[in-house]
Amino acid sequence: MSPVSARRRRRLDRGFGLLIRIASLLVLLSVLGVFAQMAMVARPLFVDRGLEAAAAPSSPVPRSYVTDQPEWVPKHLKTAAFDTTARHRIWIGLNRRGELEGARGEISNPSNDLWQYQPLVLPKISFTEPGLHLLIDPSWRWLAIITQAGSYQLLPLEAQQAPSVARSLPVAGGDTQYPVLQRGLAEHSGLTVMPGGRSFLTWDTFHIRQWHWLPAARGEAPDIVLLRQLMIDSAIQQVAPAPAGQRVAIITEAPMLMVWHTTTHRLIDARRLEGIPRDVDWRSENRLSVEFAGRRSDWQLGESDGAVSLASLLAPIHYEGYSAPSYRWLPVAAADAEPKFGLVPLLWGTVKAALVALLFAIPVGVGAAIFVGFFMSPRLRDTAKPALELLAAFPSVVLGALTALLVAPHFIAWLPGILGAAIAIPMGVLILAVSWRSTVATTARRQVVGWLPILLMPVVVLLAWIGFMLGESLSAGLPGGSLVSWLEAQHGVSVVHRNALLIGLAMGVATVPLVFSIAEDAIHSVPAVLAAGSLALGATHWQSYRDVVLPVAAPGIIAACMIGFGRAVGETMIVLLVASNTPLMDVNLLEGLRSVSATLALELSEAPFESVHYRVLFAAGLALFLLTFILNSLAEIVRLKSRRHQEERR
Amino acid sequence: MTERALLCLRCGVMLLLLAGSSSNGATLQGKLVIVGSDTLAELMTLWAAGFSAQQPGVSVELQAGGSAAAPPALIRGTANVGSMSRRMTAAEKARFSAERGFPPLEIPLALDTIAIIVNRDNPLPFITMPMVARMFGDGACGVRDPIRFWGDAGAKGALSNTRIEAFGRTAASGTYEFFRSRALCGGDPLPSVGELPGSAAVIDTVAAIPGAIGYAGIGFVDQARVRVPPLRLASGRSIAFDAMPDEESYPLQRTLYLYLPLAADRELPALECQFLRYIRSSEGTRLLERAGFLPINGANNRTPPACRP
Repeated sequence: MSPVSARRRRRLDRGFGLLIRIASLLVLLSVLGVFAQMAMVARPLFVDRGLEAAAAPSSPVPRSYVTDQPEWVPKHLKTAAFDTTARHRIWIGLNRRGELEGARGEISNPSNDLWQYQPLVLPKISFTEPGLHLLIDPSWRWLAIITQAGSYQLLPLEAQQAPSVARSLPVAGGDTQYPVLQRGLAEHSGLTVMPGGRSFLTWDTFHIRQWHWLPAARGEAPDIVLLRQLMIDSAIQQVAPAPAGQRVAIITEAPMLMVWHTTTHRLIDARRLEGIPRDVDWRSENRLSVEFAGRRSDWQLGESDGAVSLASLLAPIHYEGYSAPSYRWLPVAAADAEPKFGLVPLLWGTVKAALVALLFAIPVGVGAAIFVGFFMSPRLRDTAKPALELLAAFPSVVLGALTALLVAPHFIAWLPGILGAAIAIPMGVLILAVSWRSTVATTARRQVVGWLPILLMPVVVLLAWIGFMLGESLSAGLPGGSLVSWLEAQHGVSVVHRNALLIGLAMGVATVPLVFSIAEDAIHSVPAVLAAGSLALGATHWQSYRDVVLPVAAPGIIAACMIGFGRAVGETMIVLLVASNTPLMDVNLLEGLRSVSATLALELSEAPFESVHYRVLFAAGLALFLLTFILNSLAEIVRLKSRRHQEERR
Repeated sequence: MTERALLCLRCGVMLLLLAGSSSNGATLQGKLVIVGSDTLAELMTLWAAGFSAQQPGVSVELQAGGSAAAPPALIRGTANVGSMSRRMTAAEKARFSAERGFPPLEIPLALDTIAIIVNRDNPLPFITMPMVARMFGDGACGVRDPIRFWGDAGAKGALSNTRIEAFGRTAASGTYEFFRSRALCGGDPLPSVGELPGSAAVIDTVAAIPGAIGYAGIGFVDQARVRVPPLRLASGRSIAFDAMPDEESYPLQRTLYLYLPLAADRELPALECQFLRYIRSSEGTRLLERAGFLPINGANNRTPPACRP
């Protein structure tokens, strides 16, 4: 080789090496860029903007749907309940004699703005106590009359007579489950209803308490129960809930302005005010206005301030109208409803589906890899390996659609048969393998082993058929007539058609090719000298594969499982099409599930840009991204380490 | 003639043609982006095809992801028409007003009826609104005692020990929101109620699963595949499927709306004006009835008498 061409070759090598290094750096940077972008979108959820002084708006901002009265409504009746469009309302009040009066009004015709109203039939009871509050329950059937002392009466709204159900809120002392409302409220005490009508706030000097309605059994009156309370160190002067609910502005004596988010139970921000505040008012969902003696000052909050916290995403939260804290994913679109961003049901569903998929994919994939690597005849391997890897190209959308259309409607009917076949096939093959060793000669065995998959196919089909029939007859013999009714009736296990087992099976079929190719790669890359050396020393084929090759390939096989898990966790279309997207959290494999990826697919395009829902979806996607990134990186590290280990051995 | 002269002649002719077309009102140019409801998607497609056939210079783009997508799109300006299968809430209108300074133009389009559907082989004799609240929710409308099995709902026979599998729409859907406010009295559905991306998917799922129950607009209902049990009111009267659109007391009737990000008192721009005239024309009304809805008339439906060119 001439020195010129050698120099040129060295230069080319260095150039290409640099190019490859730059390219891999760019790949790394783009991955980090995606991560950074998602983190920036999700950041405002956890980093509050807080209260910022804002300039007064140039044009008068319309007040957010604080309901104003039609002129024909008598002045002593106040709006007690209204729906989200504010065209269906109930007015309640006490007339001059202290008797209850009310009316129900609705604009039902979409083509005009005419009210249709009718007076409510209320019992003729007169109330003489001052400072009574009249509240309507969320189902618009009961009226609560709450006194300042803390007792309340519940009256049905449409009754002719008045069977009054007098109940007192828990009083001081006693071992009630909830903290108590003081018997006599302090001077600056008050009550205000939270938008949506499902809860209301009461406050005295240093406490604000949120109370909510809990429905009772049919026909009975609902309960009012304490939901949460907040203690403040300076005297409370005024409390104003935001128009969309959940946020509450508090003016204290200090004088301070505080904003409290009820659902996540966090104080978003607190600011000292200059001057003596007279009134606090919400101009819009994110804008506050405080009125002083001769001026107003405006404050702006970030849209996602306080709406979500790590605790609210990952821990059970006590929502309005629920009897206990729970994990719920219900990011409702309409106003007034409390959005519920519990990520745990989604994460649970993702991991559950992935684990069931792996339960199917690992035995099949790794088993196939071991057989293809050790025993398969080279001719058959040349057809089988590409065929299995081609399966990876099968679009998961098609797989999901076929499963949903063809398998899902019959899955419960076929379940006993499928379980029977799943048990019969491995058992039958095992029995065959054991009896095969004792009956057929070794030389004949060795010739046939390479072609076993082809020869075993009719046997497997026969075993599947036998297993299916056995499963069906066993299930018919169970009390209840079938496996499903036995599970439902005897064990209370709920069985639905689009369940985790079906989703896991479909995902397993999609994951098998990936696990197979990585595991087969790992086995193939074991140096042939190791097996050859063990064979030369007198070990049998199986012994050398089991004790020499497999341990060396083990890290690669583990990596295959981890990468398969990462793939199963990110699988979207199969879950979207096959599942009914129910965010349930249980261990029951025959119940539905909802995964993070399917939720992103369903909801990301409809979430308003840069709203809380949008950002929470990005946060969930970020969690998923991090999970698969860490898993895949670990798998690669394991593989690289094992490869270096092998090279050192050589 | 020289090449340059020919080029000038061609340019001049093109300019003249362009000038002529801009002053000629018959060739309307523009793009109409309609964002919103899946329920209205079929109707919007029919109208889009008819309108662009009538006005060749107009292209129509349709995105049907759910009614909740319409108000944000109108506020941001990415849509010039919003279709919703529920009325815009007072909060959404207030958000629009805060951004633009005026409330959106609300046009009631048609009446739609939502039917409760069950599998074709389900022998359920009738259904009531409290039963629906107990099947789809827990504690909704002030009633507890959820119904879990078909036998408890009154469906005797082969299904009596089968679990009730309820299916609905995703949370962005106007149909979902309407069902939540009417049938569940604003409460939350159970977490076990399936969320499907479109009304057609609800029909497919209920037709495939024997123990399924769901809700969809009657325009999607195919009586060969699913069954609509008669609804029994509190007064004892039953409303059968054929009478549902016409009965005033049927509780699941709703109005479908179109929203435009324009002030009500100002004159409409040419594109929107011609579109509104088209949908109120006889052809537009025919397509509306073909999609399974009932037309409505009234003071709030503005038919622009003539549009400025």
